[in-house]
Amino acid sequence: MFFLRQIPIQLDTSEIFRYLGIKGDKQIDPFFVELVHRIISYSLSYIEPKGLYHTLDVENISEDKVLFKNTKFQLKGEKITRYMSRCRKITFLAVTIGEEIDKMIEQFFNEGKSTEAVILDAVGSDAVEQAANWIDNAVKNQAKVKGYSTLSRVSPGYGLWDIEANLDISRLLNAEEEIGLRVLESFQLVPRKSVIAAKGWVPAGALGEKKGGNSLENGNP
Amino acid sequence: MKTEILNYIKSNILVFDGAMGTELQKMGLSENEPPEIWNINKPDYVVKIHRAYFESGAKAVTTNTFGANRIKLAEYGLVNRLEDINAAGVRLAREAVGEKGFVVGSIGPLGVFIEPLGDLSFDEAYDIFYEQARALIRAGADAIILETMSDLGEIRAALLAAKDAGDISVIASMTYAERERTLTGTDPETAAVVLESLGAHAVGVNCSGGPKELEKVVEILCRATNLPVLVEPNAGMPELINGRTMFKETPQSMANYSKKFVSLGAVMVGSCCGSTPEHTAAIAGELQGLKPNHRSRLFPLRAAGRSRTEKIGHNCFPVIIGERINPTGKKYLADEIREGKTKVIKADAISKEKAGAHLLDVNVGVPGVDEPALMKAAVQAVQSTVNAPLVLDSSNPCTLEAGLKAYHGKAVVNSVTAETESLKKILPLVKRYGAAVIGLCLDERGIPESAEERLKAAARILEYAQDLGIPSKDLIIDCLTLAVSAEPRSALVTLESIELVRKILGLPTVLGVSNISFGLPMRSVLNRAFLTAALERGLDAAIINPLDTDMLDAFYAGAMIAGRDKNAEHYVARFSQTVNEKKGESQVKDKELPSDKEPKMHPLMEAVIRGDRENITSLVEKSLDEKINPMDILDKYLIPALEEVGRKYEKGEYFLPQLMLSADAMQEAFKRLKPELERVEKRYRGTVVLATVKGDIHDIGKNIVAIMLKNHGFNVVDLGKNIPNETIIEAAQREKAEVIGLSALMTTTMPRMGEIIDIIKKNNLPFKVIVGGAAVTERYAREIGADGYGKDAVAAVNIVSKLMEGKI
Repeated sequence: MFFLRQIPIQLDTSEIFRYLGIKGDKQIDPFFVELVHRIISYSLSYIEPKGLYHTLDVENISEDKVLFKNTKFQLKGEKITRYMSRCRKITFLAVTIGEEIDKMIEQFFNEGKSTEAVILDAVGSDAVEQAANWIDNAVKNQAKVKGYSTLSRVSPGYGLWDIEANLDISRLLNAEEEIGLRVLESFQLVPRKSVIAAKGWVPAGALGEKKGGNSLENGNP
Repeated sequence: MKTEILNYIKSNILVFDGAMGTELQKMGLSENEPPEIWNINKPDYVVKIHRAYFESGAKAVTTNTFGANRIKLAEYGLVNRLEDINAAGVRLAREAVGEKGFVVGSIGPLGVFIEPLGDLSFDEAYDIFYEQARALIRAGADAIILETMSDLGEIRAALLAAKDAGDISVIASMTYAERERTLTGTDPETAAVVLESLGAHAVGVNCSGGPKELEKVVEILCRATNLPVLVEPNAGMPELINGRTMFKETPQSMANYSKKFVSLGAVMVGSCCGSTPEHTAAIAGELQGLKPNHRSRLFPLRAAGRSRTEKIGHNCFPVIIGERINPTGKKYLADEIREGKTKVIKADAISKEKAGAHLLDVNVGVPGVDEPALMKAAVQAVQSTVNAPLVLDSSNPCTLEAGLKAYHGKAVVNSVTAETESLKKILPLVKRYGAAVIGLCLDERGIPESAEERLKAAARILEYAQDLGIPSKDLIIDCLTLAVSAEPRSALVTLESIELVRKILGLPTVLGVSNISFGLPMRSVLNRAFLTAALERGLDAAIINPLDTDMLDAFYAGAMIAGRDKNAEHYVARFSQTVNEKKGESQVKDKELPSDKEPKMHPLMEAVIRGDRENITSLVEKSLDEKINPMDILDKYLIPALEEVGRKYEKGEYFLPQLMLSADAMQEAFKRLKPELERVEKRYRGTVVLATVKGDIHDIGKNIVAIMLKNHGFNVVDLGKNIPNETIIEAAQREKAEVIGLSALMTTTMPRMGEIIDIIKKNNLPFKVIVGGAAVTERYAREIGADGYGKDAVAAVNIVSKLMEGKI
């Protein structure tokens, strides 16, 4: 299990504009660019990206279930099992940027500053995405040096996978105790800007990937 | 110290061996056993691999101890064998190469992240590395290699530990990902600067990728340091084929690259994952007879954050050190840090870096606080937020040490004086943690009155530093500033001192300029004049408040006049931006001003459309003063303007933030207009009860709809988020609402909307229902029997208007 208490993130302004519905080909009023930058600067000190991840070795894959070595945890569901069918390992991850942003968004609404609220909401969305990307990248690198390629990250609740899995994964990772990420009865995540996801490892040749590579997690050069 | 390796590479290229792990796998090592246990269980195999490499031409072999540290061995219950495994690793390598080759003790990363990224503290990491290094050194290793490190914080702890564990040469090698950055963002130049200053005997890159991927890293490393450089690429990128990891780079291709590495300046060349003795033989053959390409570059003072290096010196553009970030200046800031929160200090750092500070000064000194703990917390908070290198500001050695340990870079210590006690306490810390240091021209007698005496103080600091092995390039002198109001010549003495220190000692200088104006009016005028004069005399770093834009302007102008800004590059960059901003402003203003040809829009309409929250209240007041009827203000200007904003949004001319800005402006206008409207006429457009359904906590969309409906004159009762079905129905009955608006984000919570509609129908209640939310579609809305579907806030207002008017 890897813990990350302060994930270094760089916010992507163009993504934040995208979250705000501003399309790339549109001329953006300098006033809004300035406002967005101001809110980014303001919010950075409130964002506390934390996360953890754990990689399990696949033992057996049936039609609707993936079983792992040395754990009772199972990945369930036909579509997600099919998606992971070629995987030898799967990394499960959880990240959050903390509750402060949620509180600030609410406070902005209460103060009649809904513009700031919606921009901050977009900033938070990008921040948690960047934090998840950071872990994603670390996992990708670990996989590469062991001869694996990785599949795109998938999260419960997005078509391939039932949202109920949020609870199983948060328990597997002990996410509430470690990073303060709770799963509600509706399987939504608190703090709101949080991500739970999985990333599958398949033998590198299988995807025809070649480039990249770096840190060696456990290997001996 | 064992220096045989260092002596050897003075006149020879040293060929290192190749992979151990992948060779062991070929001999049957399973994924479930640590390679290092073979040192005990199957020593013959390990010796065989070492010997194969040695006989193929590797003069240096690395021990099979990469993961033989306490944390990794614990995973296999082998902690009690740590000493044996490491000792055996050295013994087996020695058995293979005898005294003709070098045995290099391998230390790899711990496999966990250290603070502030992860949980492991610097001291814990240090102890673990120390334990392994000591075992390797005791067993007779000729040198230590720290390899495949991806975190600068971790390799700092490892390097200090290895150096402390014995008198031995240490090679510090990191692994880089895409764009020549380590996993945690460090670039090769920063790695070289930090590792060199911490006392590494050689730096390098290993693993990472195939040789092609490492070319640029080697080039940058060789440009950034005169230390010997090691390179050990993988044999290409691994692929898992039929259950086996395969590497496809051929021995000859690896050999070709190795020649290139030597031409770039590398003196130790080997290979990493996937390579074999065949690769080593090809490399050794190719490099035979080649001689080291030594470098003797001169470097200025360099300070480094985790991912950025700043240079300070006579041939560099001067730098701005952002005045102290002081979390303890105010009680609530200290309280915040004590509670483990660092919002304010982070915000301070961000704003100063953004304003243009190249380095940031961190100071935690007030009486009655745990300064070392505060310094550690402050450094961790700031370095995780900004890239600018830090200046650690304290005269307390414990505080400085806490900051230096926590910092994943090369800090500047602020400061040491020429007083013996200060020199003895501060400089050893500077040396140990590889920092640079600001030397204050002050000794036991205080601040010398003449420039010559200040020069002497600076010379004393330099001499003491050099005796400790701190290079002169890591020292910067502060000639100190006294208030010109108290001593008219004080400014001139400082300026003369700057010139002398530069000319006689060749050291860079730094100055906090604001003391000069103490006790005088219009201090900033004097400060700016003094700063430009100091720059003209050769000042290299100014400690100023970067948020003071006038001061920054003076800095850039002063640097230009002093001839420090080649091609006016920095000056133009700063001021062309300002000119553009000014142009931009005027363009915006031009755009905003209605032209004579166009019909003039009422300022109130314009304010709503532009979202002018700041001025709309005064515009409403002006209209009221002009005796315009409040209802007319609403009906003729505000509502039509809001409708125009809605149209712009629907046409894609406006985006969500603009919609909200107009909505906010409208709310401000309403606030001012409300008492007037109540006096004139009560108008009722209908009541809407809004809620995000039970189980759902995502309410931003609902909040936006609430604001838009209020702005259009509806009475909105917003129940909030996660609201049970019954509470929503009860509220609608109590408020005599015409419409209920329901929001749900997820498929798991959307069914609540259907349940509420069923209750309404079953009980024949008089409410219309509009639904919306990320996953809700028009079709879904129809299927559950909703009266309307709000795809966005503008659509929601239109539908509610129609529902109220009975048109749906």
